[in-house]
Amino acid sequence: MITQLEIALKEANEQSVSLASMSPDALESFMIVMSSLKSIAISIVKESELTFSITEGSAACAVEAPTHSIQSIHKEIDLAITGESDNEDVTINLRKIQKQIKRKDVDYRFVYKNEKNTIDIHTPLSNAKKISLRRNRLPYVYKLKVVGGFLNEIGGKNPNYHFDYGGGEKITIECTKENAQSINRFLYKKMESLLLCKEWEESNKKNEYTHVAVIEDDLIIHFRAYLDDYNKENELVKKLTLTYNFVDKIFEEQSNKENKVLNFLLIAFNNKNFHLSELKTLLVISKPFKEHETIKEVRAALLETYQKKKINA
Amino acid sequence: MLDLLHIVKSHEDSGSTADFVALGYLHDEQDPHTAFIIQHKEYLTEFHYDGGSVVYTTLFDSYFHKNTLTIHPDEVPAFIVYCKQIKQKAKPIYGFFYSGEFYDEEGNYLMNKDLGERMTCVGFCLNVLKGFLEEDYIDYTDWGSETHTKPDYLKSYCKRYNLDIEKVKASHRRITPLEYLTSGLFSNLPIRKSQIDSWKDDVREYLVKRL
Repeated sequence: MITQLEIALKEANEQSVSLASMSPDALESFMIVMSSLKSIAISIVKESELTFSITEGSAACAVEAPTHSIQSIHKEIDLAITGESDNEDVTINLRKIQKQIKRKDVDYRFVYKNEKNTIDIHTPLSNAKKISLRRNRLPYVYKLKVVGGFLNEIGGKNPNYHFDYGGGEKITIECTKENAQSINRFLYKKMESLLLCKEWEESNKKNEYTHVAVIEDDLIIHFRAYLDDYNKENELVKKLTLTYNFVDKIFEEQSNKENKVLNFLLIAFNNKNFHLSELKTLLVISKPFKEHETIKEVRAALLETYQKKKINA
Repeated sequence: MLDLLHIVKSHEDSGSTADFVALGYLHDEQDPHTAFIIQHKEYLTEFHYDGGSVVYTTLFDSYFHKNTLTIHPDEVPAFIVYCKQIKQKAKPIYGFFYSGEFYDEEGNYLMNKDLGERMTCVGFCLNVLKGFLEEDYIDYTDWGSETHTKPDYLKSYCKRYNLDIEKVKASHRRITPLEYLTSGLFSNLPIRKSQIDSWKDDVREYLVKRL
């Protein structure tokens, strides 16, 4: 059996409605659904891979294709149901289908079928909010970075410091008064900081930097390597694995620095713009040390950010 | 009414599109088993301790499961990575997972680390939750030594492992797979034995009907 997505008008006894006895209204509804399903399919899979079928005599239509193709369509439909699809062909047409299957006067079956399983799409689709295109991606991303520079200015009413790279090239880093007092010892020297960087997609907008911590010399190389990999990786599960690997490495190689590193990480990730799983992972890793003096306060602060984010997620 | 329990057959009800972590229960009159059933994107996986090793695979066995309300869908990636770390590290490196208390092969809760690496499937799952959640998942002190019904078990166990019975008897208890599944109905932590007791017969009846 080939893999398919099937939509059928059904009667109370689960049988498909016979084409021979349809009301004009039901026919109209079925045609909308059928045509929308086709539009969704061809927006994702090459037409040459697709076949469409109508069960003889019944108001049941199906799109059929190799399993991986139908899976891609199914996946995109799932994304659209959770509001995550940015494929407009899918969201527009799925919204049309949703409107029809939510009607009280007609009853549909909408399923994904392969040899082993039949997965219901009808229920999640009719329970979902009105299908819409995913909100545009945020125009910026937050990244943690180790940045080095020559410190030539610090202070101000809204405290910040500057790294000067010569030739008018410099960056401004926001910090707290307490940070500024401590960083002051590096004035007119080279230093390396762990920064939270708000990077705008528009290239003419300047990146914004916030101070996280001054990293000690013997840890810089490790932080830099970890964050380089972390920022390059897009998949969340892999990113989180990198964090575990980084902490493991520090615990193995620099056992006297472990609490210091956890302290930096807990401060660095204490920002509501990170994913809930990123916050949670730091909480899990640091849990056994939560009473330690270098950990306690910063972990409690991260926990608070996490709890607020979780309630609103 | 019991459908309101939202306990489902893992294989049948995988149409869910949202990520979840669920408490899985594999029925067997003699030897029931427990696991985590995890949905992330289109993947449905099981994570458990099979008595020999820690296993993380595509869903294979015919579990019943109940989504736990203690883990938010957005935390599922963090949970998956945490599980994979546990699988990879047979021994704790920075103390997570083995957060101080351990289960032996019969479900006895032991504070003694020299013994503790052996545990039941339930003990394993509870330890995983204990390491992941901020609060304790269950109040294990509700389960007294009377919850383990095999006579003289503690005595013979201590003899076999050369343990001081006085040191471990306070930790002697058994939490069953059915109790583990039933705990999924609750989200206020820590979960008390009395809450589980008031529902577990209904859960058992529900499962038996659907076998």
